[in-house]
Amino acid sequence: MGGVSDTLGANFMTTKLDKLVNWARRSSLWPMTFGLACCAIEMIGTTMPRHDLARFGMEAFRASPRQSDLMIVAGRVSQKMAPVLRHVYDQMTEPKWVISMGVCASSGGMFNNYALIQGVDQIVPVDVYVPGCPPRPEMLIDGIMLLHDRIIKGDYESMRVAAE
Amino acid sequence: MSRSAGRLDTTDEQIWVEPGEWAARARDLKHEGWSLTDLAGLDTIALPGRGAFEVVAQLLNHELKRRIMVHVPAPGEPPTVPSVAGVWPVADFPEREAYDMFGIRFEGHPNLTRILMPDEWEGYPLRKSYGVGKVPIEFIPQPMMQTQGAGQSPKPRESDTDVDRLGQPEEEGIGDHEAAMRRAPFARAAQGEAGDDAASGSHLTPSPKEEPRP
Amino acid sequence: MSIAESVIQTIEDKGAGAFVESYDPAEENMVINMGPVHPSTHGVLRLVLELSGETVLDCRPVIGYLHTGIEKECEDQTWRGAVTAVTRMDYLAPFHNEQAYSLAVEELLDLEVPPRGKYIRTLMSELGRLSSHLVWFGTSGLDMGAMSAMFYGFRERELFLDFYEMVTGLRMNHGYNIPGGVWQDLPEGWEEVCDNIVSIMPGRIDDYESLLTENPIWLERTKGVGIMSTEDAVRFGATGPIGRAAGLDWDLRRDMPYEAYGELSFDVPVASEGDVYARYQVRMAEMRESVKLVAQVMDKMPEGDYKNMDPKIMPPPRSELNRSMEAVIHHFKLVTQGYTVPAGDAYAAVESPRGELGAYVVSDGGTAPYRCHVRDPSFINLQSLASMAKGGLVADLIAVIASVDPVMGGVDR
Repeated sequence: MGGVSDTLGANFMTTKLDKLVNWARRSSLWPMTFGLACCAIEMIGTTMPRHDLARFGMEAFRASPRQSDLMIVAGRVSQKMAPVLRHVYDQMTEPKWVISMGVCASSGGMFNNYALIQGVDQIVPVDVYVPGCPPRPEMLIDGIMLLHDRIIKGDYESMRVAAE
Repeated sequence: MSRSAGRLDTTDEQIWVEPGEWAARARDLKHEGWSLTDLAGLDTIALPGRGAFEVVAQLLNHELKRRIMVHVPAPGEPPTVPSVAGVWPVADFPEREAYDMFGIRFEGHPNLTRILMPDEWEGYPLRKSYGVGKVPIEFIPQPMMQTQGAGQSPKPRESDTDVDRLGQPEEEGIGDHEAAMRRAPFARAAQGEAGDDAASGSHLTPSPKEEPRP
Repeated sequence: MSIAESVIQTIEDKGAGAFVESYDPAEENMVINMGPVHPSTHGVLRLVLELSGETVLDCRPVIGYLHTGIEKECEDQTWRGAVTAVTRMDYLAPFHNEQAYSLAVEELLDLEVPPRGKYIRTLMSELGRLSSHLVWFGTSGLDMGAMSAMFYGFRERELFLDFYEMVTGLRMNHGYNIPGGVWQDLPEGWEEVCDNIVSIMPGRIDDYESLLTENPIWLERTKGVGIMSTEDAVRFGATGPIGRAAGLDWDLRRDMPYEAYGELSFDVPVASEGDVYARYQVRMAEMRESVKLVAQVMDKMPEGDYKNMDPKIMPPPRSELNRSMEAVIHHFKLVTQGYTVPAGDAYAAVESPRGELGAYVVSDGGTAPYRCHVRDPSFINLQSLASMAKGGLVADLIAVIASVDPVMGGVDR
């Protein structure tokens, strides 16, 4: 039910500690800069004054995968980019989550062709899919809040699509 | 070959150059003040009377404020054309792209390698013989709402931010407290009380709606 | 095997293209990879740098990390449907992508756009230039440490996105300029929103200038950095603000006017130093000119049709469908099959915020484009990156990339 009790076994102390740890993780998720295309501009717009992502503690976009826990794949993933994406995902430390932002990342979007990976869940496990082309900042915030719900309940892995 | 209707933003003239003369002609055009704006490959296999491949260059003369379009057929297998990267350095990337997308070889290009596709990609994507690469879309119908049985209303939602409003089946609902509790070790002993595995509800909060119907 | 030899072996195994061809173990040079994931928000650009200490000796862009096959995708759509694919190429200037494509298709169709359509296209084009330059301003400032620039730029951009949403329904990637005109008329109340933008923007641009133009840190980081001479600009075919900052006085809006630009008066800012600061000045001045253009277009906006209502090309208005059988038939054919365009090819170019954006369109007489190739300014301008970055420091390289303002969607298509 969360980081501590999964690791050390569930008892009164660890589940109480879980609540604290989950709250801390939820309240300051640091996204990784993985903006690829048009969705990246809307993702940047989400951190900007009107849609302020900083009120969720998430304005610190870290370029280093070691320092971030959320990868928002914002944009279309091409054949050349796919190994890079997987490599960067592997370098992130646990616990980590992935939001697939936009239809191109979720399913290939309108580009059903040779050049794109048809959905980033072919390579990495995805927690939340946010459709849209591009999704409005409010939609991205909605997706992030769904993820927050799951984190606060300690249920890190129930919805993940298993990646090969 | 359309003729522009006197509009200043489009091409005024189209000329055809034999591949053998292209490099020399390019130098002449450059001396006359024409600069290269764009160079594209073209698969003319389905256009009547035009061979297999072509290279189309757009030239612009800043003094005369005119554009011309130059067609250079690319004969042979692989289709080959002299490179004009020595004449107009701006042709470097466009020629690499034409090679990557069509397989047109440019003789004399300093670094003719793939530019858009991965280095080890096989095939030339923009050729007419290369398919789009569509993945067939399958529609797998999902049940919209998970109900306990005929005639019963769905389980009451835990909170407004649960994702149940999207109609996900109960076991896969995120943040679903009962599902998580069911998976916990101490709850497994209490499993199997209800009939189907669509969860007759939490054994922690009995609900009057969960009476089994005949 | 020494380290140098194993590096050479790796380069030979992996092949050319992505690596520097020659490696001299006697020199103490580093070959460092920068990107495709790096904190600069210019997208997935990968640079292979050969460094001697902190000095850049060579810089090779490796692109293709965002290749979406849009040109192939266009061949699979109808002529009208390809607009939605083309608009996602240079995603910071969607109106310009669509405009270039529509102009080329109209050339093939020999189709005239009514005056109101031209003026609406000009209006959206100039607003698009402003919103794109605001992103440039924000990301440039962010890359060089002036973080507040990012917030100011995007705060103003929201005003424009609100207007786009009001007119086209979308904040980005609108699909609004179509062959024949624009898809929908400007809605009621657009003048007020646009007027608000025109009255706010000059003051805000003054604010930005007060933040950066005489800022000693900004001057240190941008003056004399990444110089492109006029000869280099001609050699590398640099168009747009980076060409004009190097002294090339060429702007398609003025020199080869299209749409309504022939009837509007505006200046084209040109600088001569060719460094990052000159590009900054040129773009700031361009923003001011765009505001003036928007005000002129608002004054002169004619009434009438906003798209060419030729029933063979454009679906008739829905009210007609109740009354006329021909309208129903035309609508059906256009929606299910699309219109055919006479065989031929055409190239049309517009002045996008990054330079000359052209569309080369080939038709074989069918309902789908036979070939749609877009000449993207960022693709061409990236070739000059090496010459601008050589001899400078890595920090200068960041400034140079920010000033070139590449949009990788257009580079890779």
